[in-house]
Amino acid sequence: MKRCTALSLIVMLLVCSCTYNVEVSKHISRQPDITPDYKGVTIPDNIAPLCFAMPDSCGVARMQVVCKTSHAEMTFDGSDGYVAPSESKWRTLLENADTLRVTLFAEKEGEWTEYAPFEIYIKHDKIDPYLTYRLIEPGYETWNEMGIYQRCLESYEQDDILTNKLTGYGCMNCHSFRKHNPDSMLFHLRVDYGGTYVVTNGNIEKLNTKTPQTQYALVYPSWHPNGDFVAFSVNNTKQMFHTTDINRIEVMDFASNVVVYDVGRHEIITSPKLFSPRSFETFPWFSPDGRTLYFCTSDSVPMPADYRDVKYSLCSIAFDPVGRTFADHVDTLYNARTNGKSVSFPRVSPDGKRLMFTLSDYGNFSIWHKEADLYMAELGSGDIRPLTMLNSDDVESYHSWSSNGRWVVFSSRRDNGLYTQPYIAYIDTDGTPHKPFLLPQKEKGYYESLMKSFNIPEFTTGKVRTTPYELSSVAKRERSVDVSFGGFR
Amino acid sequence: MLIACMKHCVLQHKTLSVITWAVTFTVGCLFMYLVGEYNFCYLEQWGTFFYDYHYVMSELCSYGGGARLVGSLLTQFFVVPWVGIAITAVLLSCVVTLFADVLYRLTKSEHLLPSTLFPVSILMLLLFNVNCQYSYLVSMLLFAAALTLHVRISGEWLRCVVAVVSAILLFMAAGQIATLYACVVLVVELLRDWRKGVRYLLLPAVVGAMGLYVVRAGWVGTWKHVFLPDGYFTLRLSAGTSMYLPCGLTVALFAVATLYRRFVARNAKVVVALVALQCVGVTAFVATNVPKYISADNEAFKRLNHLASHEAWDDIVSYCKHKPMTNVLHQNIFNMALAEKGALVTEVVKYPNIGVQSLFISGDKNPYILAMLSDVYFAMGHIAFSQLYAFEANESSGNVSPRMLKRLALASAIYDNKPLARKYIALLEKTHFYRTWADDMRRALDGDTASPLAEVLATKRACLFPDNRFSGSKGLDNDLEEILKVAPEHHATSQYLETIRLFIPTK
Repeated sequence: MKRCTALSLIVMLLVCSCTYNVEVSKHISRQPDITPDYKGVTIPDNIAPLCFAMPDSCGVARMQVVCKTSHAEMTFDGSDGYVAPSESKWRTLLENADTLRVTLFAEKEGEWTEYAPFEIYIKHDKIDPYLTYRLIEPGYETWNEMGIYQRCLESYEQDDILTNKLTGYGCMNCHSFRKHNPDSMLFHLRVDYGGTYVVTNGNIEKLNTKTPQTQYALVYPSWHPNGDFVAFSVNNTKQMFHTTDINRIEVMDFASNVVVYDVGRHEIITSPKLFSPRSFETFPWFSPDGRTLYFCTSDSVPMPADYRDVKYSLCSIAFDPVGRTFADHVDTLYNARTNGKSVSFPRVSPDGKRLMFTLSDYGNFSIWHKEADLYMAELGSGDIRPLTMLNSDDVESYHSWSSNGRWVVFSSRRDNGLYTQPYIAYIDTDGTPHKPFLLPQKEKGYYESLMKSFNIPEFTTGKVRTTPYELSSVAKRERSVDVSFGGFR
Repeated sequence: MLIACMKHCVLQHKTLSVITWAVTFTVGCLFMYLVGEYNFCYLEQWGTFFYDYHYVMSELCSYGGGARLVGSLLTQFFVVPWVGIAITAVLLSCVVTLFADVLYRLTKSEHLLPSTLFPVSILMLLLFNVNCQYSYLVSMLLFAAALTLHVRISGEWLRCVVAVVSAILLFMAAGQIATLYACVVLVVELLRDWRKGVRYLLLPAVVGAMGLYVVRAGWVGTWKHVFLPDGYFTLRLSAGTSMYLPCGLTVALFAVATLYRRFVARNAKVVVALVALQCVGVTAFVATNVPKYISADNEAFKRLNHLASHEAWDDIVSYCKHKPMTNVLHQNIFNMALAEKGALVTEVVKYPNIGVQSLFISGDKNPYILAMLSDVYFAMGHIAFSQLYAFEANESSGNVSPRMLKRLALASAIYDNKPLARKYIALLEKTHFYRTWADDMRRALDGDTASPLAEVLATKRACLFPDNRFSGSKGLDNDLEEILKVAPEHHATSQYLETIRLFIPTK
């Protein structure tokens, strides 16, 4: 009996460990074309397996991928031109490894071809386990289903934080976390159950943030590190449609200002330097120490006639969280007037040394600008350089840092020019970026079939535990707390 | 004579079932053809089936996904005229036959057979509302099958166990119809024998618990989308009480049938009168409700839309010439056909029009209007607007409109965005009826002049504005002038421009 059981186990193991019997009849000296392009990327050791395919035009049926590190070797078989390594084997492979050497064998019409190997580099700076984003069509004025989701980066699991089928199919946006903490977040709902929702350790507060002075809803949030404040922008935004321009639409602010919301007092405060009728202020971002507020500002011009003249500079103003006051002067880090380009989405690294931003020819809604690229400013020296390794011929925009400052996620439309996908890149201690990789998916052709864009990708250090039901219940049943305008400080 | 027939002509139940099915099918086909020949063709424009493993699995794993998947699988065939009518008539006939079988087993007679048409006729009429999902009919069929199985089981406890299992399977595969199943079974069993029927309270408890779970898990937004037929309507819209009628009438039907068993008529004259009364009642019921559920204007729009999708401009013109043409949506399509024929300027004044709204309606953002406007602007050569409206229409309907996916692929190709065009083409390649078109589009995109789409690609690409501007910012007429500067041979553009000038003379 015991012998039978052992024999059965051995047979099972043998069967399970059987791989394709590859007899190579052709060697190709170039590396294979694979989709997504994971050749030469740098990945964290806790990322889900990278699944990839050869293009359908290659006519590949079976594939075998041999992955070698300095201490392990694994073989993965794939069919239909696609390979999806198992999670357990992948973990073993990446453990204590610095480089993964990948050799691909492809079978076409009965013949196996070996391609030149490529490398995947492994860093042991862990990436935050979760990535939060909104999935929405890259549309214009209407919408259908959308939601805010959280994806475990160590697996392929994606869960709802909130979808609009629970909130009357209204719009939801601007999810934001304090210091990557999933228990401290906020987001907005528009149309049905409209308001700003602040979630702190499971306690959900619904706010009505419109005041007569600010007029418009609060957007583009940035949490103060102490959690007592959130910087916002208030924008009067419109969009118009190009007939022939390479950029399909133009989204522009007809007015905008920056304010800071005091969480405890339910009060909005601001400064004349942030709330000027002569300029458009937007995209606020607190420094990690909370003593500086970065923002973008442009001269106000007649809109939409002069929309190409709207170019945002990157500025900063000191902020005293105890006294709730702003400095009376503004520093300029990037001068749009002299440099001729426009800044959006300033994001300071968690160690406070660097600031990443998006630069485009004009305007602020850079996701609709194909020329938009990512840049890095060294806050100590003031040096600014393009992040060439991250940029492409199409738009790179909205980006955010991981909690350890080693990884960034950014939005790119490099695949087809319309549907935004999230790319993740490693940033060295000296600020050098490494080749980014597309967020891995298990399903073949996932991104080709997906008709939605990944919007506002943000890392979190854990899973948001507040359930969609709890959030929607508050939205439907709770009255909003009115926020007041506390004046200029 | 009729009474004599009934006395002497003993029809087997099975034979009657076959006759019932055949008669229902024939009458159903004729009725649907007469009131809305192109209704199902129009439904097909808003959803299709993708032959893709992940699409199928994601639907199957979602609440009520089984019925939706079957609905999509069937809907894809509606692209062929008449097929939608035939398939729907088959399904409706099956529902009627199964209902009749249940009634027979409950009443041990055929006396209530005509009453099966009350709920089924309303269900049929609801299918003429484009917002009513086809999965409602599929779910009703599954319900009928489950109910038929239930009444065939004689063992008390076995019947109860099977009922619970059926409720669970219906809930997972067909969604909200499980509530109807639980209600009907409970009512029937309580009316049969309330002491034994009490155990069937388990059914609504099970369905309720499952519903509670899916709401708490965030899979479904509201309670009514879990338990009520609202879940078979476009979810972001309010369904209205008409969606409840098939279910309400079904419950009433089987409740009455169960009670009737105690008072089965023995007198032949009474039976004849009963049957006749039901027939008259059903006829009156349908006749009363047809105008409420079916609008001649809507059906005409669906016909025109079908003809426009096939660029049958002559057919549109000849159809519209015999119509009052007071409906502005009809005017939009009619005027589009006239423009394509080069006759808009000369003919527009001969028919009712309300100015430029008759050329391109504005204001309404529902997907059906947006899709029509995409066609209109495409005819004008205004590719930017055509693409915009196609995107919005497709997005608003869940990104599964094959007609809009075609327009998006073509518009992307016109703008020479090949990766984006290939994305849409790849989706269409996963369908059955559009993969040939997708292949033609791919070839045209790659520069194959032999492709049937090469000419339209070249023609519309020539309409792209030489200098960029914001669409419509200087007036649509100004946009059309710009198109004519680069594509003077695009006659539909000049037709529209001159007609706009006719309605709004320039100063």
